[in-house]
Amino acid sequence: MIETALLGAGMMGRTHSQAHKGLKNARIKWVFDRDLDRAQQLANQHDGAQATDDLNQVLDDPSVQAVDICLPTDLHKEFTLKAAAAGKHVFSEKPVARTLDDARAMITACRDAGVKFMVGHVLRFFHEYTAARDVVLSGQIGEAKVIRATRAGEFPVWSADNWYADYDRSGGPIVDLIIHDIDFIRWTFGEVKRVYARCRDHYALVTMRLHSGAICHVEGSWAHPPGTPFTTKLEVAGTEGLYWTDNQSSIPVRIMRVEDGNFRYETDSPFPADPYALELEHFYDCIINGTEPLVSGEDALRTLEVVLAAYESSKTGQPVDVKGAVV
Amino acid sequence: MKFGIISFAHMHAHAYAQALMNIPGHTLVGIADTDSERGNQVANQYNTKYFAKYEDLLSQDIDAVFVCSPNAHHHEHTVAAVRAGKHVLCEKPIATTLEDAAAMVTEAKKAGVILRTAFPMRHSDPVIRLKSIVESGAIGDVIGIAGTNRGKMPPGWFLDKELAGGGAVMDHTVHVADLIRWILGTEFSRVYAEADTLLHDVNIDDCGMLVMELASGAIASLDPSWSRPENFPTWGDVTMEVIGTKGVVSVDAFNQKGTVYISGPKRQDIVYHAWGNNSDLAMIHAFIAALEGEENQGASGLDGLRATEVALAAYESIRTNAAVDLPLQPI
Repeated sequence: MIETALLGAGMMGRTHSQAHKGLKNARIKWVFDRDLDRAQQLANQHDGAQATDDLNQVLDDPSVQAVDICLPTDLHKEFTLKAAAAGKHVFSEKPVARTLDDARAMITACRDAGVKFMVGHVLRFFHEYTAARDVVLSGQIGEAKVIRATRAGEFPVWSADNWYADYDRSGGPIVDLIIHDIDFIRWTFGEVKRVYARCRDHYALVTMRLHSGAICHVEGSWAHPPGTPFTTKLEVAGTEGLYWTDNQSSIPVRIMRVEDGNFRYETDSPFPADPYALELEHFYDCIINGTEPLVSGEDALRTLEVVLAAYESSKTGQPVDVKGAVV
Repeated sequence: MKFGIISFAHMHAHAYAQALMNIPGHTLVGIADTDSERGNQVANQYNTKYFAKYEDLLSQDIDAVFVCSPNAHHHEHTVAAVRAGKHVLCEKPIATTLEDAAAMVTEAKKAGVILRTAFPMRHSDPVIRLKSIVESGAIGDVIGIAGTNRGKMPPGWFLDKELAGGGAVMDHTVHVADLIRWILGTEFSRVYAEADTLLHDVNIDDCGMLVMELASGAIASLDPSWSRPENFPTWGDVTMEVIGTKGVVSVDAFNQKGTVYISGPKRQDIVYHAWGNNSDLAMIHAFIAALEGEENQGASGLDGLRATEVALAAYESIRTNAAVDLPLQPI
């Protein structure tokens, strides 16, 4: 049983707190947040967990083997370096960092400290996406040639200090949101050769060319109105067929009811298992078994390189070649 | 009114001929086709006269012609028709070069006849509803539009660069490009595209992706790929998702459909059965109304030129691997 520290009690911290509840190979010992009340609320949900707003309390606790970083992107480097220096294994939310050099420093620090480092490209644990990947890799639809992905929803108003709106910190929907789809595309279809992107008012349209020759379209939106159901789509056109999936038309449960005299329409799509729990369980298994995580720092660096190239293209209005970053 | 059809090379000629059959009071005087077997067969099918030479059709007492020849011949056939004083509804794309398109527009103006581009999607009820929602201000100012006009790979001359002017990008850019201009009331200012021959064993681009900007500052993307497999339940799609500052509205123009499951000893097929409005028929109604003097929303020759310019800019972008600024040519 790995003792772990959850760093950050915001939206993603709450998601990871929930995911830890069912884990058999790890339990939360500390919840850190600069807002102690917020940290305490999550710590209360885990037997024996303590809240703190002092990172040193976590790092000085020898029973803590790992940290789970759910902080704003531009803080990932500082916390990773401190955790690695204290000999803690590091799980960091995506994007791995806001710059390639920050990502490189994190990879190097973990390598030098001899600790595991994994980045939260959680789509690799989502059933809908692993199913799509299975179909593609089975060869049923031939070679994948035209790939379309969409990730769209309302603006994430819940972020601390509204850091998502500050593109210098978050990178906007290209760097923070459709990084999921771009990582999935890299993982399943191979490396990106060239990217072109436009972004306006938190709405991004990206086209990519892969080394395989395949052409991709990735749509990302934080521009949908508040209340919009979070929507994802994936289509793969191959030389021998087509695969299509989207999270709205595959919803199995629809609820229509009246509450306080108002009609309410709700939907639900229970997953076979919580993808975040699968992701974290995998990370802790890697620590226990001494194996390499499915999403290494190097892998996350390559994904970051593509989204930063897209971000640059969205600024310059011209295509950007992806060179293939190394540590 | 009396009509002629120049060429059945484009299968849409059948939709227009059938529309005429369904609108009382109008006559299909004849059809011209360089392929005499096809020409005789369709003349027989629509109970009309076959002309081997389009010049002979144009010398008949007709008010207007539908030009459905291969794209590269639109210019010759349209210019001849307007010089003969006939109004023209020209199949899309209006031409394969901007020079040809500009000459068609100029010649029609000089002759004082109506030249329209066959953009039936302007007459699709779901698309019209989307336009009115955008214009109502319900979604605020438009930030971006993600569009698709995907299809199956077409046969014959569509795969011949000389006759078609290009592949999937030429074939399937213009419909949605026209709708975006029409809905937003603004022009395209920049186009970037990727395209290639990836899905089929052909010598022309069969898939592509366009990312564009408009003068309003809105961004847009369009997938014109021939990426529907042979056994896809329908020919393809026209979809748009319009993102505004206050909301989102989307359209899947052909989604009003039933699903037919056909089982046989060797295979199972799924086929969509559309029940929405017939936009081809609505377009022919609008063309006839325009001939009778009514102003309506049908696409002009210049609209056809502007949409084609987007496709041509896409090819220029593919050639140079750079974003291309519009207009390519002032008109």
